[in-house]
Amino acid sequence: MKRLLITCSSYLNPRHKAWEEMREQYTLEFSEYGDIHSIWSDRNKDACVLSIAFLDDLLDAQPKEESSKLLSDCCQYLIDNLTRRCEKSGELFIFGYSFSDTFDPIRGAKRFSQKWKERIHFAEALETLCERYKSFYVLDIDACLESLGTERAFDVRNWYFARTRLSSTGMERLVNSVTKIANRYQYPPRKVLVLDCDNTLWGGVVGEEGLAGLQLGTDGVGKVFFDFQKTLLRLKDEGVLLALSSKNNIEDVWEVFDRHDSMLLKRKDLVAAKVDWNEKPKNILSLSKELDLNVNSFVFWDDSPIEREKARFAIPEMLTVEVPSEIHHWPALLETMFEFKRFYVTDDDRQKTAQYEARYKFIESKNKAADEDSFLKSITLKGELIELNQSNIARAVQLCQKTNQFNLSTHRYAYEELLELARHNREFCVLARLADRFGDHGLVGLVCLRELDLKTLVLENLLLSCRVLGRKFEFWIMDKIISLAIKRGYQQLCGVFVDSGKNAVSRGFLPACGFVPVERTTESIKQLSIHIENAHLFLRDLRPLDSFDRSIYDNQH
Amino acid sequence: MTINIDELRKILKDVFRNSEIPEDITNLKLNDFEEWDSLGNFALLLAIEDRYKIKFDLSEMPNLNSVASILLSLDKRT
Repeated sequence: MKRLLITCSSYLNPRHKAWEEMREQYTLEFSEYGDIHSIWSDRNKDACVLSIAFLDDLLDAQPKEESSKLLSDCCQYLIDNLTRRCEKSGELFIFGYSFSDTFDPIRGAKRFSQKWKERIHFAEALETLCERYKSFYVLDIDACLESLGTERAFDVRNWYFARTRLSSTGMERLVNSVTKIANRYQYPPRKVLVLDCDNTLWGGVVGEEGLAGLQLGTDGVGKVFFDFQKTLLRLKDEGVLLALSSKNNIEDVWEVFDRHDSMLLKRKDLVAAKVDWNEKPKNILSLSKELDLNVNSFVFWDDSPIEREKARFAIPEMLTVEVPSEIHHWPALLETMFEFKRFYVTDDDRQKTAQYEARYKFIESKNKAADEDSFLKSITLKGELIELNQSNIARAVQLCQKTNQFNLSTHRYAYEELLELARHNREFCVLARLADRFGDHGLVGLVCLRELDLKTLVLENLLLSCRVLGRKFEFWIMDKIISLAIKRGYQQLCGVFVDSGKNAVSRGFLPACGFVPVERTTESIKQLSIHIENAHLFLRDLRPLDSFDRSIYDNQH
Repeated sequence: MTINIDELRKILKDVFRNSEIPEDITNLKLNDFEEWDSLGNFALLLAIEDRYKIKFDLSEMPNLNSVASILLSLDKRT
């Protein structure tokens, strides 16, 4: 278990029950009272840190004069030391701070307080640190405690008795928020929200009341469902995949989606829909297969307690939300659900629905098709190899970090390493792009080659995003590598497979291309090679390559 | 208010998680074991406040440093 060093500018009760959840993930070590930053030193660069600064504590130790100057000095001192720590250590660092400004209606009526101004400067400096250092996170304690109210969250008696600022309730809120940050740092958010339709997306039962009888719009209960849908769309924009699981006639459901004026959610916002009379857990499990996403990343939202109970029993790994029967709480509950929260939203997140929808449709059609080869031929696959450049290197690095399944060596190349390969030979580090009838999948593969000697080329790694698996694209890429090797006069191509525990999918790939193990190879790190002549013949016999449009690459090289 | 002694024992166990709490706690007091130091005492008082929804006064807190004195203080409350 990782160590989490905890420091505070005053006393932070280590025996409070709120720390329990944190203790499951980290070994907690509390520092001496009031010593906030001596543990930020180099000798602790392998440990995670949580530091809490109450600015009043730092001022309290000083004489009263020039307190405004003192405050800005304190802030600068903290920023300097935080920067130093972040430069030296890449471990998780959570920094909480509180200015706990007192409100004075008379003074405040004419000017903003010194603390208020200082706080803005400080927040800006912290934000810069957040941007620059990946594992640095902040907690605005005053904002965190706001809904409790200052009078409940702080306790001046505790301050005088034990030099602790917060009340027990305030402490609990603070620790819970910190735990959420630490938790999200370690575990990704859930990905899929599975929704019921009747009395969940709208009020009433469409099969009975018909389109006109539904409650959905800008008044009364209808407004609650309207706002719930608004929140759903916001989640979707942040990368959450929305899917339906409803016992209904599908025509009835699509009628509401297509024809109800107040229906905010559209068919295109859904990654998939399972609308039939099957049991929901069965549908959800098949959905998980079709999207190739583990059910432990699913959340289920249904107004029916019976459906929820069945889901909980059949799929315990899925989070089945215990939704309140008073539906007016729904929009806020969904909005604040920690399970979906992420630190920031990337462009890639925003396109998640379209990407997974394409994958879902692909698998659905593939399962329906009579034979695989003619199906692949029918979907007009178009492959393309693109040299590494400034505009795509970030994507290449991301692929190296995120790809687990089809990844021969699972070497997590850094920016510089990839540049080095490409600098040696532009053809040795290339990205693969794929498009087909289901959409443009973008840059989904990476090839890393290295010259061993004049006769031998080494395939250091080949990886392919799991979104496009099942199209034999990897064989197309191999064909291109072989062509390159022939053109440049190599006689031997070597490859390697390193068992990462997650890349079983790619284990059989090199043997399937005709590679044979070299001497003294092991099970977990398999070294294989092939004579170029053999490779050429071998791949020519693999008919699936015919399904690709060959022209693009051949024009390139 | 009357306090169930077993419940108080459970609070002691929760707060002093690394210490052996004897069956009979009536004579226990501050410094009887390592964890029950002055800050441990503070944590204990806060846990009792949380459990019984009460608040001790700053002036009486320094004297609330044994099971007996805590019971006596709780007993005086309505």
